[in-house]
Amino acid sequence: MTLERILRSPLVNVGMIVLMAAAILTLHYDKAVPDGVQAALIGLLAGYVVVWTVLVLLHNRRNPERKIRVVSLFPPEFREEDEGQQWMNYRVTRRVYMLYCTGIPLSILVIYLAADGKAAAFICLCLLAVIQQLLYWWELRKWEKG
Amino acid sequence: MKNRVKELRARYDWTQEELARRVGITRQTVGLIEKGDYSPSVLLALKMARVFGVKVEDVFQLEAHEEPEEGVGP
Repeated sequence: MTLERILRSPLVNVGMIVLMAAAILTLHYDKAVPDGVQAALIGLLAGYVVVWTVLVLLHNRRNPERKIRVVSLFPPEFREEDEGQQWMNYRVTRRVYMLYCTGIPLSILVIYLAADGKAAAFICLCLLAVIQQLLYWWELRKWEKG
Repeated sequence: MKNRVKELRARYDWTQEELARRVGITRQTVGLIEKGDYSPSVLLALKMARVFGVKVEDVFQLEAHEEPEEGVGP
């Protein structure tokens, strides 16, 4: 159960997004980045994905009744085991909706005004994704404490 | 909506886990209902009343401000 909690944690997604953001930014600002940093970050990201996938496969083998899909449109952190969890999902998706209502127009403005629009767009999207995951994690934490 | 879930659970000396198992929900949802943070569906309310062996209105009651203005009931 503990392994499943870790594998389904929104914080795992946050780690992946942050690593991906760092790796792509080093690719974007290739010349400004010291040698080795780019390769190290890409290696870390690949390792992160491989370790997560291996652990998911291990979990699925041990718990065939509680499988986590490695590739699915259904996010692994999303849990709907009973109506209490569905209610928690309702609350958090409402907050995420409010986040996007403000975050998307603000991002459009930032991308327009930024000198490097491509990097700004990338950073804005990553920020929105991280905040979304943290909101879900916060609600999940409150729910788990009961 | 107020409820007597905690009181009824104590009467049977059940833990939240025990009640959750009997009703088929998670322990956390029992906690949410007891705290009044979540109002269960009619189906779940009926199931809870059934496991306690009482009528649904003995477990869940409307707060004074939630009472309908007009009705034919008591």
